[in-house]
Parts: sequence; C-alpha cells; structure tokens
Amino acid sequence: MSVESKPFVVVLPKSGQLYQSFRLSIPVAMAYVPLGIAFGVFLVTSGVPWYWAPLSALMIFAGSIEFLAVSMMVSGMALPQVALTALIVNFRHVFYGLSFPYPRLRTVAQRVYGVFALTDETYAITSAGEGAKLNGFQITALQLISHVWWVGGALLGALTGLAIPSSIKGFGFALTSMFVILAVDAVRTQGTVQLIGAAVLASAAAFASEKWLYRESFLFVGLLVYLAILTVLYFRRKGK
Amino acid sequence: MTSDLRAFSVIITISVVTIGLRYAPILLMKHLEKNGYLRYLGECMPPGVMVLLVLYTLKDKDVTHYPHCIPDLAALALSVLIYWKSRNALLGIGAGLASYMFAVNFIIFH
Repeated sequence: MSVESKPFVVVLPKSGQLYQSFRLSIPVAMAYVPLGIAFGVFLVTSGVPWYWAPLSALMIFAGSIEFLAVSMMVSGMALPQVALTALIVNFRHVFYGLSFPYPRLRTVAQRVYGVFALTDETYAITSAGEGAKLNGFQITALQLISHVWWVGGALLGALTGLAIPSSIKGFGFALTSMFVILAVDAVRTQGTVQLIGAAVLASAAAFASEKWLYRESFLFVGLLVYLAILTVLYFRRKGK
Repeated sequence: MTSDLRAFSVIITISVVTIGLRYAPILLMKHLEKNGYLRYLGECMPPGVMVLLVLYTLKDKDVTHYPHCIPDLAALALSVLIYWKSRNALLGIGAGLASYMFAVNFIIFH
C-alpha cells in the first residue's frame, strides 16, 4: 500500500475566514457608507419619512436606482413606469449572474440571498483577484457585511438629514452629480458616435413628450426611444 | 410629505424588478449567453441611459429665468473635471454637490 500525499490545503478557521471577508469589504464600505449617507440625507430632505432610508436600503440592495426611487416617489410617477425604469436602469445585472460563482454557495438560503445581493461590487470582488478564491461561507459573509454597510450608511444619513435645517436647499444635486459621473464612465468605455447620437435623439424625444404630451413621461419615452434606436442599429449591423 | 403607502409601493416595485433581473440569468443561463441581441443591449445601454438620467434630474429647471441654470451647469462641469482628473467618483460627486449647494444657498437670492 503506497502512501499517497494528500493535496495540501490551508483551511482557515471560521473566524479567520470571516476576517478575510471583512477585510475585502473595507473598500466596499468606503464607497457604500458615504453614498448611503448621501442617500439618507437626500431621502429625508425630499420629504420622505426617515425610516424609509434604511428600509429601502434593505429591500433594494442597489445603488443609483435607490436615489432614483426617491425622485419617483416624490414625482408621483405611475408604478408601471417605475417598473420599466428600474428594468432598463438595472438591466446590466442580467449579465453579472452569468459569471457569479453560484455553485460555491451550498445552502438554498445562501443561494437565494446570494442572488438577491448580487451588486456591482460583489460581482467585481468575487470575479477577480483574492476574492475569486472565497468559499461559499465567505461570499455570503462578504455580501452580508456589505449589506450592513449600506443599510448603516442610509440610516446614518437619514438621521443626519433630520438634523439639517429645512432652509438649506440643493441636496438633490447629489443625484445629478452621480449620474453625470456614471455617464462619463459609460461614454468613456462604450461611447461611440452612433450611441451618442442615439442618446441625443432619445433626449430630444423625451423633452418633447414631457412638454407637449404628458408630464412625467420623460424617462419612459426617452428610454423606449433609445431602446428602439439600439434595436434598429443591431439588426442593421447583423443584416450586413 | 410622501405617504408610507407611496414609499412602500415604489420600493417594492423596484425591489421585485431588481430581484427578477438578478435571477433571470440563472433561469435562462444558456439562452442568454447565446442571445446576441440581449448582449448588444447590455453593452450599448449605459451611455444613453445615463445621459437620460442626468437630464431627468434637470428637466424641471427653468433656463429662461434667473439664475438660468448657471449653478447647475457650473457644478456639473466641476464634477466632470474633478472626476476626469482624479478618477475618484466620490470626490467628483462631493465637489459638484458642495459647489452647487454653496451657490444656491449663499450666492443666489430670490
């Protein structure tokens, strides 16, 4: 009988594994906590009861759409339009799931939560570098810790918002500023003359519809026109 | 003040849609990977969507009256410039927000 050497695997104790997840969550915290605070302040100063900041952060674990949720609540946008906007704004998430290390999650609860909490950041961390080696327990821990950062930031922001005198204006600009930065990123990585042209046309249609057809139709019409142009571009390219 | 029912219904609508989007690839794994149209949409959507979202937040501003959106445009330009130079999103948002709030609270009087 030969003595076979087993492959040597370092198994960290649970506390060590947890610490590793915590350490990986620090950069996430540095983004989530300030953004969560901005979100909480924005929500309260927009006239929404403060407790909806942490509740919203708990129920929707996603960034920019959360800010948009506040605008949509206040504007009285119809729910089907809210749903369509969320669908289009968060559409990129469909592609995260394709490479998420789903098989590493063992229990049903882990899998259900794992998909619920599949944010841009979780996706980025678990798909490269040190994070690519995390086991199921650690992925769940990373997601839970990140979720706590996010809800905690929102709660802190909501309480801060309550302390801010209502005479101070302009918090809503955080939303404009955030989207403009996301736009810079998107244009830098995916922008082509065609797409920018499509965006300009869609914007013109959105303004026209808002002004002459029906109030609060801006996003709905703009997004649909943009999608329609993309569809035409795709099938024309394919037809060649 | 926004009512609790209104807040809840908007949040739950977005929550359900977002959860659906995150589950879709697991249910439709093979189909999605092969579908060139959806892939194309995924790649090409962000520029236009983000531009529309920026404009959406500005659509109710009045360009024809004082201060003619100058605080907005100046703060936007500052945000973009700082982000472009530093590549730090929070710094860009912070600088834009701070300068905008400074302008509307301390410089411009109605």
